[in-house]
Amino acid sequence: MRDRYEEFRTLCRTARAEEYSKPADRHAVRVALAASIAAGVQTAAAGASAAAIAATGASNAAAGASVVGTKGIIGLLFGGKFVSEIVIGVALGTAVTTTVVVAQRTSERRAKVMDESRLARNNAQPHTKSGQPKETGNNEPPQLLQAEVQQSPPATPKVAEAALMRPHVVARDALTIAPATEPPPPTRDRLVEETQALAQVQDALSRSDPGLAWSLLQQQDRQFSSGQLGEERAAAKVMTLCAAGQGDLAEQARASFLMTYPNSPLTKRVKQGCDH
Amino acid sequence: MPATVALRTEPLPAEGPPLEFDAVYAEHFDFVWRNLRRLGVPESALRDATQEVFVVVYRRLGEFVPRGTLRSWLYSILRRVALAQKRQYRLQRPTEMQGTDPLADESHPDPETDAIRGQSLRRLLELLNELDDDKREALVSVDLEDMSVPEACVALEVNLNTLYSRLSAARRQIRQRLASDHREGGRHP
Repeated sequence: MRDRYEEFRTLCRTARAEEYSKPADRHAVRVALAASIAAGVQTAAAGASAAAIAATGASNAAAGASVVGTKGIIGLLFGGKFVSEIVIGVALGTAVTTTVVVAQRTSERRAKVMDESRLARNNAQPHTKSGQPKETGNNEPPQLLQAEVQQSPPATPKVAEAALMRPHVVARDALTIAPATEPPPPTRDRLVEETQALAQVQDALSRSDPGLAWSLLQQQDRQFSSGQLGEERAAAKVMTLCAAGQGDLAEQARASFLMTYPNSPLTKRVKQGCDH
Repeated sequence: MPATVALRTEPLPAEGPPLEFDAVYAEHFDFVWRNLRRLGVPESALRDATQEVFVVVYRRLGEFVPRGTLRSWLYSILRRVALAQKRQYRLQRPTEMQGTDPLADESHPDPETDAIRGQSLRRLLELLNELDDDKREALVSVDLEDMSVPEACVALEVNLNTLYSRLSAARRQIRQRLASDHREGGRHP
């Protein structure tokens, strides 16, 4: 009689081929991980490890609360509409440089494109999104700002490490990402500031105030002209114009966005335009 | 299909160049991913759990002193994360843990991919789901990851006798389950 356990071993070998992560999973984890590390998010998951980590600051009792980048920030930015499909992250490197990306899981092709951007480490080369034109400086609708994603001045590894070792406030959503006592390094400051600014846009949209949203977007284009969220602002402009009932302009903005960011994970949402 | 990830099996030298996080991440991502799933982390929580593991790795890597191997250290982390995630998941969805599709990912519905993927994996997870956590961790580490028993002892922080006992019980339970399935008229659906 066949050994049933041998049957189990065969099953294990067969299943092994089905156990690999998908590119979208790897990408989503990478950017969320980078965001968590950059934001100094605490985790309480790993027993003794967690205890040691907790010693550096507040502990995070909720294991699932570590994905600050994936749920908190985007939930704020887009009122939860994108919560399940968007990941916002900060590319990880010794310099803790920042690149914010938005990922939608179900598109393998898009995920593959995004997966090509590797974890940035030991590499302080300025980072641009491939195939995207540089910033035009044109802030008027319907020509959207095409913000080049530029890298902030590289921080030293020690700066990055110092950021991790400081006491932190546990971040359960984007607005609570804040240092407890000391000012964060400039790179992180800038991204958080830019993210919170973009959250104000969403807030204005959620209060049916597209005029304010548009003003904020214009202001942020100037304020963060070399920031990390140009792509997200461009998408937000489409939504803002839709909210303002400017269908024609929204359509032009939408077309411009799709041309400027052909591989953007926000494409699906933007394609929906005012129909959403 | 991704190439098989070569896992480090030899004990790490006590002295040597410091481990680079990116290298650990790149080399062991799938190790963490598949074992979190094997230990019962729901598909919808896999990303969060994997992220958590590597957050811990990132913070602790500099302090890592190899008593076993890198993967036994990783396994010791991921098993705790898996337990925490399962607890969290049960608290949030108390009625959904039983009888659910182990590969279903309600947060990222992807029916096409899910349909293609996983008959064998689904079956494997169903069998593993019937083991309690201790047996499951032992079985996965030794029989699925081919860890040596001493390596698994380090990962699970148990002594040899305990590990052998859990392993034996897990194997026995698997055998019984498979035999039962055959008696009931063929393979499990």
